[in-house]
Amino acid sequence: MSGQPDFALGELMSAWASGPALGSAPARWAEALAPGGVEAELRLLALAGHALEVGYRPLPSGPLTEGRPLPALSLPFLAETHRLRFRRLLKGASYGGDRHQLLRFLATRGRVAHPLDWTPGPNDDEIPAVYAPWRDWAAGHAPPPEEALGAANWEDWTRAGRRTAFADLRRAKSAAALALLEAKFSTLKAEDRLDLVDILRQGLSEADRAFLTGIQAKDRAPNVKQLATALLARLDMRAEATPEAAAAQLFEEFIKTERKGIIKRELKLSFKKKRDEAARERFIALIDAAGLDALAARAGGSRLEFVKAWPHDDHLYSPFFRPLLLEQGRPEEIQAFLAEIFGMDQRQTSTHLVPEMMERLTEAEQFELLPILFQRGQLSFDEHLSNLGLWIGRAPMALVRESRLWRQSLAMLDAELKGQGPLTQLPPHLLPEHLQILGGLFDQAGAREALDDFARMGLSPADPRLDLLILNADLNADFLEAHS
Amino acid sequence: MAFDAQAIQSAAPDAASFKAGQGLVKPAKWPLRASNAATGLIWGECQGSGANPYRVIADTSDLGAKCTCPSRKFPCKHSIALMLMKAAGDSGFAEAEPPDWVSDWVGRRRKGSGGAPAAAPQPAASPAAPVALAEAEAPEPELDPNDPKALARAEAAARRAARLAESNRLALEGACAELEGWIHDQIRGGLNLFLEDPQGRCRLIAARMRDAKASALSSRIDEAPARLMALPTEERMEEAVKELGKLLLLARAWKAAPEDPELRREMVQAEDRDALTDSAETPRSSGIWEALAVTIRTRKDGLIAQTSWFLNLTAADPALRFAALQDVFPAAAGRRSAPFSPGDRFQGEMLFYPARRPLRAAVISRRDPGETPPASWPEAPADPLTQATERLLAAPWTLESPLLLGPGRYVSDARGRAWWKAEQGGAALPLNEPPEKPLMGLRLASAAGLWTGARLEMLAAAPEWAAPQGEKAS
Repeated sequence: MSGQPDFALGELMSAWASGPALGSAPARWAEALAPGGVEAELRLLALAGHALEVGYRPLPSGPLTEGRPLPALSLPFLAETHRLRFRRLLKGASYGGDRHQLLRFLATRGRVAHPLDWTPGPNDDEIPAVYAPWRDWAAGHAPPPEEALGAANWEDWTRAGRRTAFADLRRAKSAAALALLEAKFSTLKAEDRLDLVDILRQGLSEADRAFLTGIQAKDRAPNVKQLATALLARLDMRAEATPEAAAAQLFEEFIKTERKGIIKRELKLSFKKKRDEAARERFIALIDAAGLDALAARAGGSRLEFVKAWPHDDHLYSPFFRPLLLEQGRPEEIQAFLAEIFGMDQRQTSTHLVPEMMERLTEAEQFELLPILFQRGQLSFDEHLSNLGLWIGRAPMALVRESRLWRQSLAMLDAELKGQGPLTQLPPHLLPEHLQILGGLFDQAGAREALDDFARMGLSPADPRLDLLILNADLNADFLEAHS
Repeated sequence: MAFDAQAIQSAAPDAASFKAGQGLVKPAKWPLRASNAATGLIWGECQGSGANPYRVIADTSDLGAKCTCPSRKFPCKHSIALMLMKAAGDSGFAEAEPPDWVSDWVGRRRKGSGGAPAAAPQPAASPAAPVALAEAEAPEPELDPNDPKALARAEAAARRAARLAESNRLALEGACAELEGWIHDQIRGGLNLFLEDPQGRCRLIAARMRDAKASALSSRIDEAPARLMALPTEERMEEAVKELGKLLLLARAWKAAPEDPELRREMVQAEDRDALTDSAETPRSSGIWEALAVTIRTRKDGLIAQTSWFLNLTAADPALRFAALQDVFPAAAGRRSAPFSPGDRFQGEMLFYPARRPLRAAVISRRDPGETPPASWPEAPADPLTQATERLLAAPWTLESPLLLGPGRYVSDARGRAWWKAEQGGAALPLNEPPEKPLMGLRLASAAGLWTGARLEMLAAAPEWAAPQGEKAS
């Protein structure tokens, strides 16, 4: 480590390794070592130690290399004054989904986390897109190429970036995506093969059959083979049956229809009892082959009627209608479907593909769903905020005041402040979670108004459960517009 | 809950604490007092007996309190004093937003847990009860010059103290001779053998030094193996030569000047802070001080050394540019919250413990942080190690030297070890531990670190983050 030797340091050190070193002392120190004996040996040690300290400079054993600096993002860091509060919020968000929503909220206010508080890991998929350059940096990759994904630049992408680019390519140029995957397939790990073959679900056609048959016959990984088999079953279904026939088969095997009500004769759908997990692949293949038009016609109603009547009470089968709706649904149909989900008890349904469906709606269409959403109880912070679409951190107070979420929050807070303990019918963790949800959904004015309300009720503004509301109230939403 | 003297007295753990708190109701002891009406929080800094002022926070709504002092009483006398001043309507409390260290406490605190025992207050002893004033700062009784018996007692005590000091000096001289013999034994047997079991070999001689009341030297020897073993094998031989050489130089220097305050401190223990304050010879330095870092080290003797490192941004004398405020307390007393946060600035005066290159210091006075004028970091020397060299040439036993570093970057060597590299001049210093990953490769406009002779421990750095896309870098 030391450098610039101007005396026989190596010799001295070698000698001291096994005993006295006076014989290896530099000649110029002879005068200082004149007494000889023990005293000279001690002096030599002191002189050499001091010379090492003041006369030497550390030298690296090889060249020093600069790492690639953390790339800039399109948004500025959260200001220093907010970092402590945000770190506390991040610390409380041990679940990845909650952290994702916090980061998403921050991004809607035109800020990103400070890199000394948080940076993504190389495989963090669930993060707002603004952090993609940091994820690439964490994976040791240069920024992704500006041109589309291709065989020549395949290795220049991170795994997550490549997956997204491949899905984009499949959407835009289905045949090109298939050709690219065929070319690279033998070089991929099993997990990547599984990921990318799964993307072929989108726009699946007869052109994919030969490739999938090859995988079914030769792939070493059983789960990849199984996926290819399922996709081939879907192709077979389409080849064998017209949409109408597939719909007829689906209703024959799985779905019951009836009309209820004397005047309105409302369409009701329900699952037949004889179902099992083994039949699920057949159900998926049938629903995919039938399509929304044929399904609605078979049920004897309009597409909108069919969407509204879709049953949500079966976790084994119900969710497989959602990919079809996402692909073929019109905005008003998706909006109606989401209104059904938001109007239900949380335990009866899941948030599967809900954010993606929200993305298909305009800001105004999403806004119409908010009052229904705010009536919903017992949703987690992650679930609630992921349902908010473009309205995360933008909901006005007027919209929230009449909601169940707000009323429950006030009631629980009131009971706590009056020392009545938690309300028996609500789990005790609900108040902190509600306050956090309110912190993430209000616009800046709403957050300030809520804080004033809570302070009037007697809640200390320093209560850590108000962290997100306070951050919300402090972060100016105009920032984004000024920087856009 | 009422917030008045009576309520505060009820919350006090005992009459002695309350009385000691009353004794601290002196604005001169409190360089900082502030409050926030919206939250009901009050906070302040009280100059106690340690190098660092104590940071005190109280919540007037429930008399919850927190103080950085080591007292196990709750609330302590500093918290009681702060609350008493506020309850008495002291106008010296500036209305302000709670700083981070206050918000942090509030964030970590659960109502009722860190607060006064509001639900079931402990019965406070009557102020008139004959309770020992353990916490009170009782002044020493003054000597009456007209009392011949008292004068005789004082002279006898002085003679006894002188005899004791002489006997201690002789014992320590004997121990130093043993130390030299021990160092020679290590050389004679070969340093490879020494490096096979440095803990075992150092422990014995450290115990001998402790017996001779050289507790500072004993700790230093006890901790030497940890310093050696933290380095890769190929560097340990050189480091052992440096360590042993420094021990020899220190022992010889002390033998030549046993009354030298710096050498006494290195060998025995630090002098009393009050004695320093009274001395006109102790160096002082005024200016704008910036807190760089707080380092916490657990010593082998079970004590925790907490050091706040400061840089004087406007120092006229570069030799008094750095100040280290050190407090030592038992590990059993629990973790103490840091008295300063990195980046905190204040305008004030530090008093330095006398030394060839003064470093250890205590705060003498400070003005309201709100009044601190802006100041930038001073320019660093082109070769940062000249700062360490100057210190070592003056005091060759020095273990670590603070360095001011100019613009540079964190880089990696072929083995993946992290270095700091100067932007100009080519100086490069190996780091004791890698920086946080986002800092690698970034330009550091300025930095400060502790050089141990083998590694740089970074205390503070000003990274230049890339500006958001579309904006110019600031």
